[in-house]
Amino acid sequence: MMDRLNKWLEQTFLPVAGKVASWRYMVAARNAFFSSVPFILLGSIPLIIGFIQIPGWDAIVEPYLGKLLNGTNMTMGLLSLWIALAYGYSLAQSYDLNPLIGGMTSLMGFLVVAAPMRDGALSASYLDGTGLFTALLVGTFAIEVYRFFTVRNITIKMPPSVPPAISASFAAILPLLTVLLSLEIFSNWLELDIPGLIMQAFTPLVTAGDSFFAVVFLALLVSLLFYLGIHGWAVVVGIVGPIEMANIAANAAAHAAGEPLPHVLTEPFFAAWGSIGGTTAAGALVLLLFFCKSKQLKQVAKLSAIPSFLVNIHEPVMFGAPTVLNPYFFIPVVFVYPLCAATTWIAMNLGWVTKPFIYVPWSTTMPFYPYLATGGDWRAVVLMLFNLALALAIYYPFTKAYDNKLLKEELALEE
Amino acid sequence: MKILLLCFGGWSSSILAKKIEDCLKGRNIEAKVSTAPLEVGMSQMKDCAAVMIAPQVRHMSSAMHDLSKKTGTPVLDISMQEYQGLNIDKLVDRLLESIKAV
Repeated sequence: MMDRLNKWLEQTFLPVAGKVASWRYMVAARNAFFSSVPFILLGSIPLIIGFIQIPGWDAIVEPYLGKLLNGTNMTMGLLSLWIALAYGYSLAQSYDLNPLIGGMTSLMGFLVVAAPMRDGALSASYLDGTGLFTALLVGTFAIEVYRFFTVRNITIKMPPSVPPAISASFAAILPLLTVLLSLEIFSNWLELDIPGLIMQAFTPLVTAGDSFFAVVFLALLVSLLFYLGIHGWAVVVGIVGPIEMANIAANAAAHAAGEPLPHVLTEPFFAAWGSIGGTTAAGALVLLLFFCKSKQLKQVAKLSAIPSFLVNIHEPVMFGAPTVLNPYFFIPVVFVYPLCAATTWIAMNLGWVTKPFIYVPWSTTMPFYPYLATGGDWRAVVLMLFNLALALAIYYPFTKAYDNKLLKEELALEE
Repeated sequence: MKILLLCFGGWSSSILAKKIEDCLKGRNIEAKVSTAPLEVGMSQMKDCAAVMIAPQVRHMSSAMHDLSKKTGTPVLDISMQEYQGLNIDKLVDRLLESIKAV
């Protein structure tokens, strides 16, 4: 029965995962996401310094808070700007177009609709996470226009004696002009608030992303892919990553303004309270392996401990035990992660634990990760430990059964 | 010689990359084996002697093979057993064969 289930899962999910993940726009979005990570990371630091939970600290920091938070505004606060540039660069590269020209065209297109110049100033209101979807849509438009002109060879022809760098910049003029004019009609002449309209259109999606159903479903999907031995986040990060990033930037802005934090769907939401020792709470499994009797699992425990406990990497245990397509581990690997998402969602929505507003990389050692991501909320650590206990309880019977089976096989071999 | 080992973030495969590099050195072959995210592999494929794909991103394998037809770079899928790095010599044999075949 399990064999048939395994086969069905592989044949159903693998090709779809491959199609989705290798889709050109998805690759470009992933690239844009990864290249923006350092900016988000850096932008979190002033938030940590500005809001250290020491009595009296707020009074000391108060006079400098505005200047301090400028570091956040210039990095995290310009998220859509970085995304527009990186997405255009990467998409152009995938078409074998000049990536730098592509990135600049995309960035210009984004600025034309999101921050048209008025009285000598660009408005920054859509340059943060709120302009994210605009950046991706305008970037796609800009690069497709660039490609259209290049593929059809519609360019201003230069005599062959002109150096290639100069003729390349002339080749960019017509697509650039097309992007500029077509977007200016709406943003400048009709004075339409395009990012506002796009945001309205996507609001249901972003709101739905914070719902109980969405986070549990997402965790379930990622877990299923991990059961197949596929890095689940690698498949969905093109869609989910930018949204998570915009959400954490919105949470950071709300925190700095002293308002309630709007979003739960962020990278730490899954990583700090679910990926304990690696996605699918694999750290719980590694812990249990140390108490196993079979030689194979003892060996795997030793090899997996450091990557799992120190940097939340669980590939060694995933391929070593292995948990991949292993019927013994189907239930814990597929269901522990969604369960962690469920408890975390409940705890955050009841206000028991602060929603994450500081971007900390997923490789941060437990228990510092949940503590830092929530700006130093000790209850976040309690929740992580609760989820770990839950994971231990669910992994335990299956690990024991598997250990007994391996032990029997090892003994039979020795005889 | 530059060889890329691709996984999700380019972090989980670093132990294996080191093992491959050491094994090549043992055979007097100077090579730089680096780990990288898939996206980096896509854009840098043409500068590599070979590209290896970790099993956890094998859903992208066919896309990478398609890409390699353009650049002529050999693409090697690593199996889950090989990924644990227990039988490194065999993997390196396979790697060298694929480079020679080009």
